[in-house]
Amino acid sequence: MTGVAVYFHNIPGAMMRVLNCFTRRGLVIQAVWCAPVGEHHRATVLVEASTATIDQTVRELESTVGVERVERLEKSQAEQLSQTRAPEVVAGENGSTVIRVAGPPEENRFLLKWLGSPSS
Amino acid sequence: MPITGAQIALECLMREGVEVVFGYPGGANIPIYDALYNSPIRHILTRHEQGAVFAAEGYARASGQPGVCLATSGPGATNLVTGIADAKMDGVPLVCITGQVRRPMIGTDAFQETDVVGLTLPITKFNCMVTRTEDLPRLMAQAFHVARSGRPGPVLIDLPVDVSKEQLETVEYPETGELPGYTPEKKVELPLDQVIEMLASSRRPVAIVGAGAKWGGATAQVRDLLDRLKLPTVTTVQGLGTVPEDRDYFLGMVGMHGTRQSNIAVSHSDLLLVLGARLDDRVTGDPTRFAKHAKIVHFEIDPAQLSRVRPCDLPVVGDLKDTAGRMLSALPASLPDWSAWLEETRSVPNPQPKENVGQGKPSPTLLLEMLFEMIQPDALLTADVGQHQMWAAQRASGIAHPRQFITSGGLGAMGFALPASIGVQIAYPHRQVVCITGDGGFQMNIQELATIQRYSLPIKILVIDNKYLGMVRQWQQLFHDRRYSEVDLYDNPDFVRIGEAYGIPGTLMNRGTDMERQLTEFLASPGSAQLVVECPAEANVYPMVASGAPLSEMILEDKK
Repeated sequence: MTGVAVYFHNIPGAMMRVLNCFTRRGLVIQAVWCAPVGEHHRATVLVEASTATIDQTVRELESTVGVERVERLEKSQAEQLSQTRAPEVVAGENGSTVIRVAGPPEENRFLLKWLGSPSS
Repeated sequence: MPITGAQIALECLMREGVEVVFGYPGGANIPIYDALYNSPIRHILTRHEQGAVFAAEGYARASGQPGVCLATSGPGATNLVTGIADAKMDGVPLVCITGQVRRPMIGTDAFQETDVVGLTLPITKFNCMVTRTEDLPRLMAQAFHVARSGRPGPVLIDLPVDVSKEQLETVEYPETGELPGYTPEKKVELPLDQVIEMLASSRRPVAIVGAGAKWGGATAQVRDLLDRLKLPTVTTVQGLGTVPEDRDYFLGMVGMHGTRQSNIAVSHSDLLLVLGARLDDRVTGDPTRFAKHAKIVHFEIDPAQLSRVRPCDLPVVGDLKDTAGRMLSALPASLPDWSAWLEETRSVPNPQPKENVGQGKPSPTLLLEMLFEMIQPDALLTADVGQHQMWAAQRASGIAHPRQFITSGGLGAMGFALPASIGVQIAYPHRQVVCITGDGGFQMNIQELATIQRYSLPIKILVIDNKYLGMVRQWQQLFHDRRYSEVDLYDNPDFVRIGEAYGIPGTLMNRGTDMERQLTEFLASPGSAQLVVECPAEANVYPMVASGAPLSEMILEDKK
């Protein structure tokens, strides 16, 4: 699994252009988390693809209007993100309920805030 | 005084220096056409939106300035799609303005509503719907900036009809069209020392020149650089005309129908200096066997074009005008002597062109050779897609400037040449314009004969009529045991009479005995004219590299 974090300005169509860089190659997006992060928006995208395809996709992303920069996730981080399913509701200790939220905390901060939880 | 959205759009066009637009009206862009009614901007009414977008492309490809086209919502907008994709592939600056249904109706599947922004998102550099009239000046400026800068390309502005009608009391026009997250002129360090080192240690370097030179305004810089390097040089179809034919280091066109010298030189090279070419599959053949022993130095403005089918070893990212100029300045006084290598590449025999004569019919290749001999030095040619396109490209090396040979290269869109020639002639009303088309492609936008007649454009239309979809037939002959499946156009209409019905005089050439006279008369006719050339049905384009084969494996002639 490969993870790519794309920082972009939320100008018209930018997010769809970002996702299109993956889908036009027939890649199935395993997961995507997107939210404002700092001055930009960030889309964290998980896909299964060869290194050459990812290299090509990253170059195309970097040329896409609206995209500020692209970062590749560590393989372990991508693998970890790909394992999570969310929101997952499980029984906690003492009759409490635990809601597990998948994905990077920054993209999930609105959900986390809504849930009233300070961290994932 | 209040000003409408449509008037703002036209004011923006004028501020961008637009003098002419190509288009077709409909319900959702009536306000734009109302504003055009007393506007200094000239409007060219085509007979189909695809004609408008290809004409705008022809205008842009000939002049270097953005082509502008207008269409209404729904079917008007969807008819632009092929032209937009074509402009994206070949890096042509194009600004499309589509009408859209009223904002309250959007998303209701209203009459003639379609999501044209969604449809064209993957084939534009930038597109958007204008949802607030006050945003229109900024979005128009941004659209032009994106279309022109970096690797040029198409943009689309979708204008709801109520935005076009809305009146604003005051309008602010931005000074620039910059937009966040778009920095095509990003300064990067040029690894020119490394390029020079690689050149110095190369024994068999070859330069490949593509469209980047013309779009970057870098033709002079590239010529100066190559004159200094004097290494074997080839061009892509879109690079034709960049390297003067009289240079002894110029080997011709490379790729599927390139010269044998070019393809063998590239195959045997140890260093490829790629100057503004994408290196797509039609240029490389089998990418795994393309220039297998060569390192690739890729001069390219758009990083997305690097390593697409074959990894490059050293990217030199930037505007070719700048990078080629700086490369020339950085070259040492003494360069390796590549004359023996050049001699070796030139000693490869190019197969003699076949005359393709059959049953006394005119040879298309001989005819095109004559055409290139007879046209005026600054003539502009458009070529459609298929056999005639490659026959013409093989004979176009002698053109003086890369903007003189205009064809749909990357997308290979049949139906391109006729409407494109309209845009070319509008851009240069006093230059000779010749449209070379086949019987298949001609019929894809044949309605544009009406546009040619309407504006009295003196375009010369050369129809190479072999009553086949010739390139597909050639592939079926060579690779599918002559199983000619649905390529026979035996029932073509009488093109001469069709032309005459549109008011364009025509001549039929169906014998090979009088070609020169007929061609001379055709080119000398004062207004528009049509010459329909009935060629042998099974003439093929050679040399040819089969799809998936390496460049070094060329088919040179029909099997005996």
